[in-house]
Amino acid sequence: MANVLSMYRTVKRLGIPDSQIILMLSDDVSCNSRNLFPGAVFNNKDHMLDLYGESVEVDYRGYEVTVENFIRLLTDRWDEDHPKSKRLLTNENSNIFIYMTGHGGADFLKFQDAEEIASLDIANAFHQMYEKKRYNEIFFMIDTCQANTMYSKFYSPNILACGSSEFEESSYSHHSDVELGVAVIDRFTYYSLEFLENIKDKTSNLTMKDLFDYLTFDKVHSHTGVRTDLFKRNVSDVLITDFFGNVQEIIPDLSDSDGNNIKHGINDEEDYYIEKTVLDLAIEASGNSSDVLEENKTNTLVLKENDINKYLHNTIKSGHDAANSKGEGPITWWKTLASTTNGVIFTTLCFILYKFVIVTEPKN
Amino acid sequence: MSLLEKLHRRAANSGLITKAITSLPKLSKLFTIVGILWLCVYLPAEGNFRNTYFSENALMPNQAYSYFRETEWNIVRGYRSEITKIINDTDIRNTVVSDWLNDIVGVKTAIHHNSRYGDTLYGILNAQRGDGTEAMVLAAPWQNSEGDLNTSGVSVAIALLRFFSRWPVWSKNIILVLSDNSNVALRNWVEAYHTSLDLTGGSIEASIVLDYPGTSDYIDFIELYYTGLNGDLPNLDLVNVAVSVIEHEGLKVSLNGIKNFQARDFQARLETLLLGVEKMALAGVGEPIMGHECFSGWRIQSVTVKAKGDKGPADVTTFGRIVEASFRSVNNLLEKFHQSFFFYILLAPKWFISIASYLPAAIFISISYALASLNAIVNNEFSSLPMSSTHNIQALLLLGCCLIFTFVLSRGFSLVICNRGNEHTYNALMTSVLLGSQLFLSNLKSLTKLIIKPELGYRLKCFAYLFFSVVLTSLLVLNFSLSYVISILAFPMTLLVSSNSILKNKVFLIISNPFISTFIATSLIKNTLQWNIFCQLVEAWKDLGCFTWFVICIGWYTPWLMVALSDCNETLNKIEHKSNINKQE
Repeated sequence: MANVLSMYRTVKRLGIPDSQIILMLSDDVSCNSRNLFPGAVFNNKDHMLDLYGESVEVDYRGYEVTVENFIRLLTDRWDEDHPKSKRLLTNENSNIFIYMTGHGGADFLKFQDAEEIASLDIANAFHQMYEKKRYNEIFFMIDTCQANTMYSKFYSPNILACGSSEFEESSYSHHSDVELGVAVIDRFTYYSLEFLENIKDKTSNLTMKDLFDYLTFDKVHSHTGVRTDLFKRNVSDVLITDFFGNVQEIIPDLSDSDGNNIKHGINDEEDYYIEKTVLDLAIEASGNSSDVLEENKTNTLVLKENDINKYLHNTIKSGHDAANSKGEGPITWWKTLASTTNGVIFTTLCFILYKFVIVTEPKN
Repeated sequence: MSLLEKLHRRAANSGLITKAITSLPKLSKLFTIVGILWLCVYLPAEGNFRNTYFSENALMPNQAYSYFRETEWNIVRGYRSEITKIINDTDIRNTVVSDWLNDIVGVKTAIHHNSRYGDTLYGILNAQRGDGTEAMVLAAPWQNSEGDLNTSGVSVAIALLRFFSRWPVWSKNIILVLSDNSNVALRNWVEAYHTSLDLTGGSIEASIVLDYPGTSDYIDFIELYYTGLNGDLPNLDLVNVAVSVIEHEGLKVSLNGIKNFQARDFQARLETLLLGVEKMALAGVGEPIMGHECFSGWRIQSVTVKAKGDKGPADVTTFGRIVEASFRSVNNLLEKFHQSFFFYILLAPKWFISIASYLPAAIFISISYALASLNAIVNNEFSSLPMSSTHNIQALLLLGCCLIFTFVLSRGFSLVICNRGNEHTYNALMTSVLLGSQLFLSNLKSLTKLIIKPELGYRLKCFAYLFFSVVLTSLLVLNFSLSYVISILAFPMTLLVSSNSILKNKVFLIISNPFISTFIATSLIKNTLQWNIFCQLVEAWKDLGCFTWFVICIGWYTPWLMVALSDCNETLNKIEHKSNINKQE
């Protein structure tokens, strides 16, 4: 539980808003009567940081956390009245970070006590997402026993995966809290967080490779695994903030006025270059008094810095609808993508370490 | 199928089947020997037992630091010095302690009055944040199984309840039970709790009975008792928790009070195993009731923790920490104890044999009775008689009559014994009458003119052994030890062959008689003549619900009676003798 809440706290610290985080907690440990510190969850025995103290938005809790709901969430197969806040509103430009933890084994992870998700289930769900253009890149991170088996079945492109332990290998907890009488955090997550603490802001240049190199056997006590064969980019080029931080950038929409042939994203180096150029230009041009975005013939942009901020704000607020829309007025020519290089929607998922189902009925 | 047919033909051609049929008595003996060796040689041998392990992840024993330490020492001492003053006064001790408990925040108390077995004071500490549907019991009888005053046990229990009331972690209610004794008074309270008491604290998941007589401050080691009534054992996870917690506190554990608890060699394992089997077979009967047995039959996992010695290394707060840590572990449970094993035999605190390994021992012996039954049908010249022959029907009728007779006897004897209570001389007299009558029945042949037909004799034996085999097989899952012990004690019954001398048969009959055999066996184990044993058996049924008495009377005595009847035939002797001679020729 603390694993997930710590990860949740980290991505929030790096600027991902709650609206883009789906947090699934299968039990309310903070209010469990066995918790010596009511209302609090700690990830360290020093009790310095209450993970539950700040505002925590749990999207799926308790018995809502099921394999079915998780697969539905990924593939967006809901009925109409399912609230937007509980959906994964991503498109082909979104980078998704998925973190899972709990009891697991070879090719499965337990959900609650009654069911489990198989590695192939996730692989198939990811492929559906790919076919439905629901993601640009996925970073899948899992901390459980024999975690590396969980990503072994993936077959869809642009997925980077990382697990805490090999087949037939356990993942270990980092330390126990003798007051609570439980192990509060697992090694893999602990050292991942330790690394992520180095990222002070969104401009960090640390890459995924740095993260993977950081998680050595000495620290984690199990062989962490990384799967890169589905991923097009070199991990040493992938910034941590591509998945963990909310770095907003603007890229140009190269389509014609009918909206065809949209090109965007960093998959195309040329686009990426243009995007960078444009953004630089835009910022440089911030002294210009013009209130509207103007397109000149060479695809340069003149706008005020404030407008960029305002526009970005709106984009984020309206989620992927805004990202998809053509915009109005002068904005028509521009498309802001809350993702491409930026992490947009994070799915954080948790199944707590131990049993949590309490069915109480008078037994006499 | 063709392969099977081929095998069958091959076997028939080589005369294997005939050979097997003629050697049925030998096979029967062989199976019994295998059954005995299985338990006594095979199981304790290296490689046949396993290390215990925690099956339920949620238990997490010893993960939390235990705080019942020096700060509580003076509180325990205070309670102890006060209790020493009142412990002998059964009239006021409950009311005084009740006042103390009422002073503890969150505790409600009540006294369960029972004029026959004694009053029981209990207090319920409601879990502040729990839902109050489940409970853990901390029981400290005023008097322990040996009749000693449980002064320290009661003091530690009260101090613990006071200490527990300050913790917010409890998700289960904690019930402190102070009964007059660890025996019927506690049992009566448990029954009342589930039937008639007004103040209750939800379903009891686990209970720990504290046994710490005297006023010493120190403990040398801990004895752990776990065998319940009727073959009921606490979930192995609870025993594991107790063992792990005790060893974590640096104390040694003696299972069932075995003397040689440090050794781990073959002999020590065998001794521990046999002691466990003995405790289980005699639970509630020959063995003192430690307290945890009282919770049997209500799906409550229960152990008794007994402090031994007064030199150290541990002190009285260690004893409290054992309970504290165990309760915190059980408190973590979200479900009932359902993982791990409910059927096991322990060879050492951390070694066990699961049911799959030890069950064959009893099965082999019950098979040997089935073989003896088969032998009584096929190995004589009456084997060709049709199934509906009058002898079969007569034998079945006799089985019915014997069943009715043994049932009436079991009820009648319990009435006779219990009319007079626990008077020793009276019990001894009744026991002697019972044993005498059995001796008479064993000599039915020489003392009476009763004669039955030889065919009937064989059929009687056949049904008797078959009946016994079925009884044993059904019993071995319920109470393995009882089934195993009875099957061995009764085995001489199957050796009864008319070719033997009359004296030999007589001896076999006498030693396999349920009452005589029980009397001798328990007397040998206890090293004194157990004149009270039948009274104990009857009382165990009435007070504790222990069914051993009926197993002995109906399950064992019925076939024995039939075998004794079948022996009453002189012509049988001659005929069988003749057929044996024929075979030899």
